[in-house]
Amino acid sequence: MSPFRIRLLLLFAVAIAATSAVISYAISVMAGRAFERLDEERTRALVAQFQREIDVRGREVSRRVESLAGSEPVKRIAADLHGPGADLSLYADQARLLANEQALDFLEIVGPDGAIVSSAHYPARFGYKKAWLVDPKIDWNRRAAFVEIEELPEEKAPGLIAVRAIQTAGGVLYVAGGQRIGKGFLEAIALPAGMHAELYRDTGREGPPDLHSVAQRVRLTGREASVRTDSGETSAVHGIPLNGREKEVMSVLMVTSSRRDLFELTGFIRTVGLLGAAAGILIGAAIAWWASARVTRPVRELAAGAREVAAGNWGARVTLDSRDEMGELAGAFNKMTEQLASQRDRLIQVERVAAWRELARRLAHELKNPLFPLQITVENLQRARNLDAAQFHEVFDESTSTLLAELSHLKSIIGRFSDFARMPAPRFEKVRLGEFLPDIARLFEPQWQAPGQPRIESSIEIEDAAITVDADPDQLNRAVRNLVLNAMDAMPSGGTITLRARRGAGGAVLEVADTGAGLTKEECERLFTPYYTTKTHGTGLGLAIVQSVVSDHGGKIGVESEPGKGSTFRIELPERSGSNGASSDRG
Amino acid sequence: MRRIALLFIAAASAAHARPRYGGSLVVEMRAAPRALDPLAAETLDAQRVPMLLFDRMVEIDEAGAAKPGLALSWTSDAGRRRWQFAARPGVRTHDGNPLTVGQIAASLTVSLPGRTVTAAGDSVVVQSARPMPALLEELAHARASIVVRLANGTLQGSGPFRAVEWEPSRKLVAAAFDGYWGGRPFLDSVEIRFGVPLRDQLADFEAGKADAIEATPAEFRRQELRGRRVWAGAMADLIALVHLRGRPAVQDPRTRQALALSVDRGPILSVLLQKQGEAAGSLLPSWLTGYGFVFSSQRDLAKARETGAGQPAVAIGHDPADWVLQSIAERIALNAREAGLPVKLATGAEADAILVRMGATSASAARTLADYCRVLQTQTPEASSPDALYAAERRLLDGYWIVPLFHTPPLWAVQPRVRNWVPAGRVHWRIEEVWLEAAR
Repeated sequence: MSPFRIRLLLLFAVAIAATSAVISYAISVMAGRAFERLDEERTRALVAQFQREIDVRGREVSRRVESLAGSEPVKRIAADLHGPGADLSLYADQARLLANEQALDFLEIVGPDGAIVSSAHYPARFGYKKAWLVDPKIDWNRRAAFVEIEELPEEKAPGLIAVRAIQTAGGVLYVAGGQRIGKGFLEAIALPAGMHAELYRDTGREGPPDLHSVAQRVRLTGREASVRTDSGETSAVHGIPLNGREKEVMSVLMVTSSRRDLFELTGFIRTVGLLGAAAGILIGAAIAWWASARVTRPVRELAAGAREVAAGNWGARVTLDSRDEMGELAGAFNKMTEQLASQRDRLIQVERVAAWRELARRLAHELKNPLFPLQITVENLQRARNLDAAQFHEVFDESTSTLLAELSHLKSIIGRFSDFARMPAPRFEKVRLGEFLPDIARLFEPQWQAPGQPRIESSIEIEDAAITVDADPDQLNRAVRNLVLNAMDAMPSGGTITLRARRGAGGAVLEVADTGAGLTKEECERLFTPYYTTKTHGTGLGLAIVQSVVSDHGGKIGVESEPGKGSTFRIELPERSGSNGASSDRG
Repeated sequence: MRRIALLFIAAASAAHARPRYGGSLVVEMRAAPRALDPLAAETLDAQRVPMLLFDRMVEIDEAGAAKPGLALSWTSDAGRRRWQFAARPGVRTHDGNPLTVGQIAASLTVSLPGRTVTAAGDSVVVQSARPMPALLEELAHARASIVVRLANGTLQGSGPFRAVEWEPSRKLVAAAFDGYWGGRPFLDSVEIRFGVPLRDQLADFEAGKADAIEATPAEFRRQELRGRRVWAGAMADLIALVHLRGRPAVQDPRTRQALALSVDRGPILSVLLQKQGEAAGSLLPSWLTGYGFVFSSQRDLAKARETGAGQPAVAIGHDPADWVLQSIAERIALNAREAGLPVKLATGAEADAILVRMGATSASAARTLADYCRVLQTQTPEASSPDALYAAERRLLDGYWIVPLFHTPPLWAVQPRVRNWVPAGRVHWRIEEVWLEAAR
């Protein structure tokens, strides 16, 4: 898979995954908020329902206490209260009987001084005072029921209490009764499923801190308070104040609503969201796979076409059945390739014509030079016919000698052209460069040291004497000698020629450097063109022959040169150039 | 014509007052005896039941005088060390066999430990190395009932009723014993239901399913006010607060004293006991000893506050089935809190002190005190004289381990058809003298 396609695939996948995750998260958050609102509304409804229930129960308690206050037994107690020889012990059990009659959990009959005459829920409390009842400022008969903490033999319990006062000749007789706000009371309240109500009991022992904090908040503020707990079953606890006769918080009702459904539903939505996201990612990956393949196919075809063109297949074409930008791109590519092929053909034609012209010019030039002496010599011979025999023989010998020399020159010129045309296939052998280069140097040493000639110094730099390449020693010798000759030509006033051998990437590097005039950039680019020469007497075939040899050895040749700084020709040869030919170890 | 009508009315009235035979009496009670053996009866209520089935040698009447039972007469030597009882002739046990002097001697040998009991002709001789001045009271005790213990383990008695159906702790059905030496009882049978809570007793009574029930003071008063037939016996029951010796909370005598002094007996007696009883400072009632007034029953709140300050909390327990005891315990807790002593109610093993009700089991003060000591698991004092008895009781009360609170009578409510429900004895019933009016 192409890197472009992989990147495209990853881009698509990440985009789809991120989108799915964002959507899933948004759904989860929105669902959670919706359920929170629902839960709050349910709580508010519950609080309102409970308050209504308290009001209804309070009215019912007031009615029952009022009924008792008007009953015959209570009237009898009121009448006997200040009668002669009143024996209140007779009524000690009366409150219990009356409470049973009206289904009241609490009932006390209290005398004018606040002393309990009879108590249904705490019979032993007779005679003890209930001082808060004796308050002349309170009109109990108009007072609604309120929450009061009633004392029981073994505990204290909240009750919904109503008080009624009966005026007698000797004072007021109070009837205080009510219902206990306990389990039965709370169970009678229809609570929604998942809700549970109970009174907060501050036992002083270790208990759920959440409940304690809610109760404290309710007591401090006198208003409802809520908290969410995560102990065991995740739930929310709502504290509802139960107000006393002075509106003080007498007790706190704790309503626990299970949030399990909420959490399960939220969890379900979250799970669905995650599954959706996962499915989205998978589907997105598949789509990304398909889309990336579809998007990258034209690109890949274009790239393949470009590679073919680069490899020399100028006939390569990209076939895309598309009318979009990629189709246009493919069309442009094909058109460009056609134009390139056309231009290359034209260039080849032009170069070929130019080469022939150059060849013709060179041939004309090379052939013209010997022809002129030949013409002069022949004309001298024609004129020498009129001379005496001795002079004629002298001129004849001189002229025939010149004719033979120029003919030999012509023959040499034709031979070099012939050699270039007929370069033989190399015969590979093991050639140790540590021996090869010094042999070359020794060949030129007399010429470099000849008196009257510009002085040329030589330098041989061998990195490793064991460097060996597969090469045709004769052809390689010829190529290096050509480079040395060129170097000598580049230093008409003398200089230094350096021969180097070192290991290169996968083979060996040969360098021939001079300290001559150097070459321009344009000269370097055209240097290896056949018949191109910067010298006035050259054929332009020397470097072309060197390039041909190097090419036949599977190597490369290049030049580094700047005007005035000399030139360095570098031949890179593979360690093994080919399998044909005999292989022997030769220095 | 008018005279004839008056004669009919007079005759009808006379017939209404005259005892009649027949009918079955249903009695309900809270006690639940597990055995009919008098020796196994621990409480007063449990002791009343065997008295229906078994006789004693003598009886003690209301005036405290001994009356003949199975013994027609008795004599003793000057030192009261040898007593001789002439056995009543012709007495038969419920299986129809004659009750022999030997059987009487065998029964007394078991119930009078430390004494030598022998049969001598038609007499039974009881001998001891020590004087036995209270032997007659002891023989009148339920524990001294004459029981013929057969080899198969069954018990035979000679009492006015014979057991025909016995479910331990639940029910006894006893039929009139035709061969009773004192004459056949008026009732054909009596059914006693045990372990019935007071609330259920009252419900059955109101529904006419029970003829005689135990009454709480409040119920007693109510029934009395409604004109129903009620009966209060002698002040034979003792309500007392017993501090448990093994409990750390009451080890400090100041705690016990504070609790004892904080109790305001007056309001409890007036209201909770509906004046059916008397405040008690002594274990034994005054009618039995004559010195009860010497022991103070007054509240001393100031001293209770002084001694109770800083004392640990005390838990008071009681019989959960006894309303009256529960109310009294609640009141005691309120009184104690007034004195600054933290007191709460408890049940079972958590109690540091328990409120108990004990019954005088005998007309003998010494015998009753000994029974109390046995119930309270304290050492039985020697009390051969009134002075010794007083000293023994004083020693028992020192340290406030036991705090007497009230002496109360047994209270019963009976249906109007039940006649002669006036048990002659202070302790036990005389159901053989009860008769039922004919249904009209």
